[in-house]
This record gives sequence, C-alpha cells and structure tokens, in this order.
Amino acid sequence: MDNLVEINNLSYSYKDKTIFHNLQISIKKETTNLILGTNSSGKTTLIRILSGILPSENSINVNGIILNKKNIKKYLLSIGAVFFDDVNKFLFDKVIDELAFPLENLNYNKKDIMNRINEVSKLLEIQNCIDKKTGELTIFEQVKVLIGMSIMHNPKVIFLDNALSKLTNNEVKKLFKLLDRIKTNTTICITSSDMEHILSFDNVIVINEGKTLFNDIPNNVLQHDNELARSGFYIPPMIDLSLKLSFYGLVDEIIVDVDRMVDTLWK
Amino acid sequence: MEIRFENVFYKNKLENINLKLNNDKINGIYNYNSFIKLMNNPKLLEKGNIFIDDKVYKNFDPKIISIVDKDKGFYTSKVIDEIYFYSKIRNYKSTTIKQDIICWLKEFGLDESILKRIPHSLSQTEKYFIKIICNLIYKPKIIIFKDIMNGMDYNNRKLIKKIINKLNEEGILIIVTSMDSNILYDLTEELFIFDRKKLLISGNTNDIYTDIEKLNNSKVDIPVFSRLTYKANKEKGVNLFYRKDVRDVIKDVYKNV
Repeated sequence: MDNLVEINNLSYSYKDKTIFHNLQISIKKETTNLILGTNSSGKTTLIRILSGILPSENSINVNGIILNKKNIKKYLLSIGAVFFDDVNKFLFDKVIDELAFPLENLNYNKKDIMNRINEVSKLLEIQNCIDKKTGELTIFEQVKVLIGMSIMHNPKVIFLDNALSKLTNNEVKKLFKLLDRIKTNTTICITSSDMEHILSFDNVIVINEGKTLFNDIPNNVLQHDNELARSGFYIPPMIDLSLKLSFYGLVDEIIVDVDRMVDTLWK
Repeated sequence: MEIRFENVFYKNKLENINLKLNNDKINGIYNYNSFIKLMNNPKLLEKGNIFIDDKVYKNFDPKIISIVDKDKGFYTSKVIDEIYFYSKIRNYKSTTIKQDIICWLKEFGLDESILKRIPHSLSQTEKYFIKIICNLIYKPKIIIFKDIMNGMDYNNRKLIKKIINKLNEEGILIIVTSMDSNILYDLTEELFIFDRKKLLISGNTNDIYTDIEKLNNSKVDIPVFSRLTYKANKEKGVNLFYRKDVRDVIKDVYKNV
C-alpha cells in the first residue's frame, strides 16, 4: 500500500515552546489511524497544521499535493477536518444546511448537493437526522453528522480531532463499522490521548515530546507498554492485564473482552 | 454540607428518587444527566423536594454550587479575566484572590504566564484546568465534576485525583460524574447508580462493585476487574478476590490458573 500522507521534518513552536521538532509521519491509503499523544502533546496543533490553519511550508504532502501557499486551495480539497472539542461545532440550525454548506462553498449545483447528501447520510446511517435541528442531535448523531460534513467533498483523508472522547463503548463500535465503509475512499486519522479503542484501528502513530515514538499496527505498539507508561499514557485496565498476562505466558494475544479473557484463562 | 432528594420526580426521567449526599466522602454518580439538570435548575422539579443543608433548594445558587463542565466555552478573551469573571458574577470578593489563583496554577502544574493568554490558544487540558480553577476560586461548597477524567492521561488522572481528595478534606461536597465505572471505582467512596428513571443502587462504592449480582440484570457498566472476578467465580468455580489494582489481579490469576 502507498503512503497517502507524508509529514517530513515538520517543526513548529509556540512562543518559546517547541511543539514539533523534525516530525516524520507517513500514513497509508485506506486505513484508519489513531494519532495518540498524552495531554498537551500537540495533537490538536498537528491537526491544525494539517488543515492549513497553522503555518507550515512544504513539510506536508497529501496524495502528491504539497501544502504551501501556492497549493493551499488544491490541498484543502483533498482533506477534511473536524475539531470535536470546539464549543460551536455547527453553523446552521438544520442538519441538511450543515451538510450542504461545504459543497455550496464549492459552487456545486443543488441537485448534486442533494445527491451527495443522500449518499453520505446513507453511508453514515444519518438519514433520520437530515431534517432535524442540529441542537436536537444526540452526541453520537453529532459525531456522525460532523464526519459526514468532512467527507461531503470526497476528500482523500479526514483528520478528526478527539472524535471518540464523548462516545460510549457501544457507540465507538458502531462508528467503526461506518468508518470501515468510508476508509475505502477516504483515509481516516483520529487523535486521542486515550488507548481504550486502540485495537479498532489499522495503525497507530504515537507522538511524544514533538517526535514520532511509534508508527505501527496496534499490537506492535502495545508491546512497548513500559515505554508508553513511562511517557505518561494511561493504559486501560484490560489491555494492561492482557499485556502482563502475556508476559507471564498466560495468554498469547491482547484480549479486551472480559468474557473471552475468562474463557481463555480457564478453558 | 448535605444534599437530600425526597421523593423527587423529574419529567419521565427520574421517578421517586430518595438520596442523600454529604461531604464526608467523595460521591460518584453514574448516569448523571438528570441529576445535573436538576442541580443546575431545581425549578425543573415536578414533584418532591431537594434540600441543601435542610433548606429547600428552589433556585440555583452559583455561590454555593459549581458545576465543572469541560464543554462550556469561555466568556472572555484572556485567562485572567475569565477567572475573575467567575468570581465577579458571584459577587465574591477576597483580598487573597490573586495569591489563590497562583496557588491553584501551581497545583495544576501551570505557569503564571498562562494568565495572559487567550483561552482559544490553550490546549484542551489547559482549558479544562483553567475551567476548574475558575470554579474553585470563589470557594463553592458543592462542586460537581462532569465526566471528570474524560480525555485525561495517566499523570493528569493522578493529579485530578489528588486535587479531588484535597478539596474533600477541606470539607467541600464533591460529586464526580462519569459513565465509566472503572473511574468511579477508583475515585469515589459513595456511589449512586441511576438506571432507567430509578436509583438502581446506592452505597459504599467498594460494596457495590464487589456485589455484582445486583448489577448484573441492568445495563449499567461494571468495572472490568469486578466483572472478570465475578465471571471466574460464578462460571468457572475459580476463587478470585475482588481487586482494583492490576498487579493484585495478576497475582490472583497466576495462583489460580
């Protein structure tokens, strides 16, 4: 698989503080990626840079388009981004207006906009939300609508900052079923400081002290549990238990499901 | 300090709720939305009574109750103004307010220079900590922390736990809310679990999470190690003890596998 996103030697400072120093990240096509970092490690800053909100010159390449002043319009068409912690996430009263907005901005005609709204709402199972007011949506519906907005213009990659933090475990499971459908067209990157859902991702990029600590499949990243704990990550109880039991040779894979763990330990 | 619900009814969300929370212990609430709504606006109450220290609670009193909610925005354009704003609208005056702010910043590991920053430029964690400080500075008697550990890493979980304990020792009535039973198990001493309009169970947190039978038929979240112990005991006849710490669970499993 080819790399879709390449970040090369990205450096960024805020006042006297270095946030990234020669950061290198590559992200493969058609994958779901967790960008994992402890609190204040620069995850949101990274997404702001990747979205062109904060400056960077020639360090970022998405699908062959380098992010710089000259390419910014072309670049922005290839990405989508949502900041889930922003207080005012919605601009309009109605979901349908919210979904239409990205394409209206790109001068699509009404028919094409409606067709795309129907496609996206079917993909994300939000058909019943289309005519609702944004203020009436549940948190899970809000997340799905915001993701819907970010893929309306068919970008190559979407960057979702902290998309999972307010969802229940069940909602995250449902969301991943939907993301699996999206990723065939649009690569997905989600930031989090939480490892609770790490095994649901195809790939994990751990950033720590301004650099990439790991960029690998979840199981391989978790083998570095001591280093992750030393770096200040909170390791969820079942993952922690699994890793420690596997160290003692009592299980041979990471098991997060309690029922499966009991059945594996006492057959 | 005590909050008491007597036969409380609220829309079709709470039905005949009786409970008592006090500042002796750290209180936890699971499935907390309706509770917070009522504490924020007691006028929503349809039947029954809420008392604070034996006085009927009719109007939200921001001088007494503080609800720390990460999702609320900032009202001003500078961190220091934001902190003062919370005190100003509550008419709180103190000669030590500046020192208090600096003490709390230290407690949260934040540099004084943050006071001059624009709230929008802060990281999510810095925003959360500033919001907590805004709510502590006017010295409320009851503090409700909504979704307390959501998005926090290991070090910040430890820090928040330390601060919660400190506030509780100072006599503040602390209520932490979460949908994650592992967090409530770790943090609270007294627990109130709401499930479908009812108060399903309340009491000592340890007792609740080591007596899983009562929770088993509900949809409420159960701490993973308690579930593991219960299932091993019940279905496999393995005699594990109920533990909170992963190291203790491993020792138990190792002995019994």
